[in-house]
Amino acid sequence: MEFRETSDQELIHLYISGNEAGLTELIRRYQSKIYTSIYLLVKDEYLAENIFQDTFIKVINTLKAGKYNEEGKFLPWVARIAHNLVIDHFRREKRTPLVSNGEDFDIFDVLGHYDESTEDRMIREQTYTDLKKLIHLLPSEQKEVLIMRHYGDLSFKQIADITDVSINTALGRMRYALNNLRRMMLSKELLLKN
Amino acid sequence: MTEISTNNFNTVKQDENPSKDVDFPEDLDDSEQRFYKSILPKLTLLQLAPKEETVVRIIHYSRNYK
Repeated sequence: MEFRETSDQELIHLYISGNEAGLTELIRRYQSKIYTSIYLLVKDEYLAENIFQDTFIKVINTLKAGKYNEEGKFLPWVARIAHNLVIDHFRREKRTPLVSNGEDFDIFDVLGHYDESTEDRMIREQTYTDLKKLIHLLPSEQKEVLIMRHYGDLSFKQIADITDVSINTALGRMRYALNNLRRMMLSKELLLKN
Repeated sequence: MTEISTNNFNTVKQDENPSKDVDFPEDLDDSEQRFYKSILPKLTLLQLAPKEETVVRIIHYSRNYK
């Protein structure tokens, strides 16, 4: 069945009415954004897989119980659930999101850019590695806003609600995140030139 | 019959236009907005996908939901 033109709301209705393909398409549509937002916060592949699974189990339980609030958009709702589960994890661990490294995980094992030249592949890998490292260097609250905004499609109002700060604080963190990233990128370029 | 194929679960769908739907708050100045736009494709490139087996487990849970 082809769902490319089907809205999220229609897919939710399909699923609630018993068509499992509705859920399959919703997962296909948003799995990367949700998984990436979890992974960049916990920096551990195994943990990210578990939290991703728990996120969608909560989604299923809510939808099947008829408790989904249709006023909101699907992706921000799921992103909020995922973020809460990440916070729950860190609370249980009683630590801030600094965690073990998942550096052995290589995105290019997953992406499959089979037709790329060696040079293109090296450039792409370097870009990925550099930006990932720089994002991980950001203070956790700045990284969190950047990830929720970009991958979770959350508004600053939603981010402010989730992180329990004012909208101005959420906006300020985004500004700091961007400025810090820009500064780090510039200094890296300068280092390479010298 | 319900479609259950998960063949595409380990691929990452790239946004055709990653800057679409991006609203820039007034508080971000022009240079910040330009910088954000400039890194959007790289942020999209960072996207990962969960393992297929994780997705299959989720779908299995849903099918067996009581």
